[in-house]
Amino acid sequence: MLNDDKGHLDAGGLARYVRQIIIPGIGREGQEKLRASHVLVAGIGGLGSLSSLYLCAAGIGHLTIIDSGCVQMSDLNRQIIYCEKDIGERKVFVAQRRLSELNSDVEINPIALEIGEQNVSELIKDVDIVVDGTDRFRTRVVLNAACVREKIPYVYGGIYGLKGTVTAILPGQTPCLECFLTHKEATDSPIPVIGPIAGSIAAIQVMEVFKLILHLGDSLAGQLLVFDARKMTLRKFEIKRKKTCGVCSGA
Amino acid sequence: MKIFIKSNFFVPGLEHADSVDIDHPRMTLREFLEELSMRAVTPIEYVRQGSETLDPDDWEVAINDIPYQQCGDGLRTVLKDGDTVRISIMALGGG
Repeated sequence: MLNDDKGHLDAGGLARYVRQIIIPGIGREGQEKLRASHVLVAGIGGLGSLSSLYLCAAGIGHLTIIDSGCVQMSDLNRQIIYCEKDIGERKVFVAQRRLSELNSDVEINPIALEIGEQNVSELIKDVDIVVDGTDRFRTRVVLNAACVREKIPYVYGGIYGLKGTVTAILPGQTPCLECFLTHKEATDSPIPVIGPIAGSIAAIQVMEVFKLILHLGDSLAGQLLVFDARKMTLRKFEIKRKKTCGVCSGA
Repeated sequence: MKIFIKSNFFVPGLEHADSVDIDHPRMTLREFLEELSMRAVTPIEYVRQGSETLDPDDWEVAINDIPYQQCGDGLRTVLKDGDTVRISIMALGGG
């Protein structure tokens, strides 16, 4: 344990997180806010395996990880939480072990389920922020709608080839994913992906989580960040709210 | 001529306007997108340099709700006064 009986950081906690505690705007109080937070990572693949590592390392107190898949050889080019010996095992249980080895003070809740309309409300109950690392738009739209309904911040991230996109959706304040989606499913399978793009986008998603918890700096709320590694550009676009959006127009 | 714009984002350089007045009597879709690009503080590469297509991972463009690829001349399609160009930025789906 890195906290005293009142939930405050003890000496061990201070030593562990000192390098981020000294960042202006975080401090001991910010670290305790991270410790008190419950973040759900949906999909423990290219994005989610990386974001869960960073969230865990930074001391998020409670992490729920959801994925129904098993580790495959073709995952290992980017999903660096897994090793060759994990092939065939359920991702969430392997990830739980690795995350617990990284930071035993974090409560990890692994769920080996596919997210759908029938279970999403129960899955996001009591969660502070949802991080989307899934790879299907049909899952993303379900998560987005549930987060808008339950007023839970939702950090979207997506990758394809040498590009990635990220935004933070704050129900009632920003447009939602449904407002700017143009298509619901990638047409080619498998989707082309490479490790550094997944890592970059996952890291930005985690930074968004920290900013939302700590009220630190400017978040990507209402803006789509586009990372193009072919041109090595990062660009932000202000998203429009769709007046007729079936998900958030009444939020 | 006046070209109307629909988009899922605020097009940089247009602020909140929903149309653009063009001095030229004749303009192709490609020229129009290049004109829009130059109105932004930092130009936007809607069209891949040296290419006859948009960057398909970044943008969907339609003229009067018809995808530009189906408009006969693609990016060389000549716009008419009152046409509506829809530009959509793409959210990527892979994880």
